[in-house]
Amino acid sequence: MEQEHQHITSYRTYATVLAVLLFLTALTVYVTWFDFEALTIVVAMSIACVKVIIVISYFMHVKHDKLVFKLMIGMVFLLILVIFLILFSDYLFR
Amino acid sequence: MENSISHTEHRDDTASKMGMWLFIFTELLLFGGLFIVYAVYRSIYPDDFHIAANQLNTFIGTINTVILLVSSMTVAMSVTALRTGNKSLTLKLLATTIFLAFLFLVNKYFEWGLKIEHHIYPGSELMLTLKRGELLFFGLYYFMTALHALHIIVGMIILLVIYFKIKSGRVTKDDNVLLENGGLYWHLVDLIWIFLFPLLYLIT
Amino acid sequence: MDISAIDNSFLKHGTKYKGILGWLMSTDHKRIGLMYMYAIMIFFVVGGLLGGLMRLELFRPGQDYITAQTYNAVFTVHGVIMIFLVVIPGLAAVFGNILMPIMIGARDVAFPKLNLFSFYIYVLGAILAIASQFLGKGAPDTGWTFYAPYSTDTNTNVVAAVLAAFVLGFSSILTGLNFIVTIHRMRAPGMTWFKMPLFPWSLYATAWIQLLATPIVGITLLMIIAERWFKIGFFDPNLGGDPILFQHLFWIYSHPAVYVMILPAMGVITEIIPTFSQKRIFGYKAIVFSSVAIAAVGYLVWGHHMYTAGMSTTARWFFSLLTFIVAVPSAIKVFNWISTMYKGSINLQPPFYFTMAFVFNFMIGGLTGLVLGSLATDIHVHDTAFVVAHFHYIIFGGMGFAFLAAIHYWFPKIYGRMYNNKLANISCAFIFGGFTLLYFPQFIIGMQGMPRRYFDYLPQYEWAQVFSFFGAIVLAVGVIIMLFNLIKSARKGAIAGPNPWNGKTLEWTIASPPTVENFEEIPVITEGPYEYK
Repeated sequence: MEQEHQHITSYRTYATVLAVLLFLTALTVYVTWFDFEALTIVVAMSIACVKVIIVISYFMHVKHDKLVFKLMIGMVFLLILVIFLILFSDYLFR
Repeated sequence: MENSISHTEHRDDTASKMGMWLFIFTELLLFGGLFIVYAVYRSIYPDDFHIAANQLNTFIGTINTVILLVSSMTVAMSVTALRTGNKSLTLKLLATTIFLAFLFLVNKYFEWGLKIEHHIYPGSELMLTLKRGELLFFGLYYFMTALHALHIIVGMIILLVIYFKIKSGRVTKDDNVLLENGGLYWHLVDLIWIFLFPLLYLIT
Repeated sequence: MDISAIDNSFLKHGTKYKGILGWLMSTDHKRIGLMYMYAIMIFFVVGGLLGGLMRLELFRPGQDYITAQTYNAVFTVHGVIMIFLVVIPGLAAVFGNILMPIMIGARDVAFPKLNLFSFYIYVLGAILAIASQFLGKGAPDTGWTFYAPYSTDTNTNVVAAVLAAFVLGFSSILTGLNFIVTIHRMRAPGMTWFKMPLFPWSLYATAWIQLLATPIVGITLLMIIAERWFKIGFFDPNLGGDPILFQHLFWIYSHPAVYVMILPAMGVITEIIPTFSQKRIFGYKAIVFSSVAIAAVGYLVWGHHMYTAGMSTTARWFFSLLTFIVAVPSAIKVFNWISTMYKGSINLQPPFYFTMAFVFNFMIGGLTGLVLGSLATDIHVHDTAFVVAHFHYIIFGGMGFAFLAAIHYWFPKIYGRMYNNKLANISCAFIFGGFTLLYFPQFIIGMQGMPRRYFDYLPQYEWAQVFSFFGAIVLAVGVIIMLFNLIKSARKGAIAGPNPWNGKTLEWTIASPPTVENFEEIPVITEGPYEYK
């Protein structure tokens, strides 16, 4: 069985990624001082999603992994999304 | 593929990693179930959730977020360190990660302690007099953070085991998939917190 | 033919230890599969006896042998044992373990130790399930669905039963995880995805459901426990919770669980029909895609268990539509099976008879499922014996018969010996006849309004209950004949040889029973799995 080529990420990249994540954390705390009404949750969740994508692609180095991993991860998040949508077809229309 | 018998011995790092990812999926779905419950009750009791979330300490929450993000970076760096053959740096980075995890739990301890001092804990007299949505919020808060803390503890144990395996030379530069998988698990703990943090602390 | 194949096989040689430890500590997928099989057979008999007890009580109207409370406990434990201990692990853990690695040309699963570990988690779950009957304040009486808020209020020992289901779910997750990685990474050289036999394909689709649906019920069951211990009120309307949310979360797992049961069953049938028709499977890719489609859409139809629970109309429309859609790939499979038989050289052997019984039962079960899946008719038959008959047609008539077909198909491969054909055919006739007599009348009285889970009934339903009772006896006789035949033949049957049915998939190219290593040399695959000339 072939051993896959191992991608080595540099320390600098990780430090940069951390800086971005910390900035986004600060941003998400900052924006909650303003009241966007119903949009608050959307903004907070959007930032969280961006953070999650960054963590998965860099810290969990999926960016350099085989395609099959990307497909699986995408499928799982899509599934969770679809479950939410279907469930709320009940709760939003009661 | 050699002809000798021993079917357990051949090594396939991609398989190990895939196994770890599949396990992570189950964890995501496990918390996914909780997020569903959260979303449903938030949609039913939006005002109660706001009032209850106001009583959580955003400062401690933010500190814990920073701690987890930094620990995520150190564990990711430890993989790089091991792959470039720097064993002592790997060990230092892992030790830092475990220390940060411990710090997270200490913070959590104080945060919970403060709430319990105010008689807000599942089953308390005060809780039962709260509004229904607030009761549910605090119930979810305790359940979610407790389950998350449990994952932190498990993650610490996993990283500790890996630490000693690296020290004794059973996980090495060329055979590092265990460290990588341990790291993946630790990032999962981080991923979940990234969602928990705004949902519990920031929706005021 | 000589007996040396059996002496050289995995049945006589452990991997590391000898004697009984060689079984209990074995990481050999075939030995683990067999241990599952023996455990499942024992639980099947226990669950069946409990079912028989209910039939005995229902034989006449009024209370005869057991009280209403005992009856509630009996149907709960019957459900818990049959669902969580028998049918969910059933085909995947037994035949998936024993045969899937062989069929894809591997020496074992990807994580053999994890495989053994999941067996012991299963054992732990089984012990918990049994303990829940005897510990605490009485056996659980919630039904296997643990519906809140009753399950959070009742004084009976629900926590242990819920914990058992949680632990068993974990075992199922680990098996699924193992299978996915095995199929991704360990196929023999040359075996592309579309040269893989269809039983592994169905297991692959199943494994994803096990992996992605089980955690949801896991967390839900934990919430039930938390609610009982800490009064959090997730599902208690008095504390602001929504009991319907429990039903949502429960069925998000438990409906896909039905596909965990039936998909491998379809896979087994798809293996048997080409072998006994000596003909290439009709529409290989259609079957693959229908498996995947069933897994994907089947995940999203959970709400059809809850039409009368108080969901929004929009949600009910949605779930009804999706339910009708999921029937399409199931029907595609039936058409494929029948087209495979067309103009084949049919070889009427016991596995084929069981397969025919499966197809027949599955069509009745599937079509009555559509009656339940459409909104208006479901209101009428909801929670009646009609539902009981429907799911026994799918789970027993479908998955159960596929399990029996699989045993008779792969028995010579596993034990290297052949059973008595005539006795096997007789047992098949008894089981099928008894099954039909037992469950078909329930459709009729269900339509007439006989509710499920009642220990008493109006006199007008008595005729059907009497039929069902005698059906149960015929069924039991059939099972006894079958077990007698199989147990005796496993030790004394005639030597079978490597390929008694002239099958084409990889398991028939190696010795019966297989050696510990399965293959002396991993084969290189150049053509599809069912190339009959």
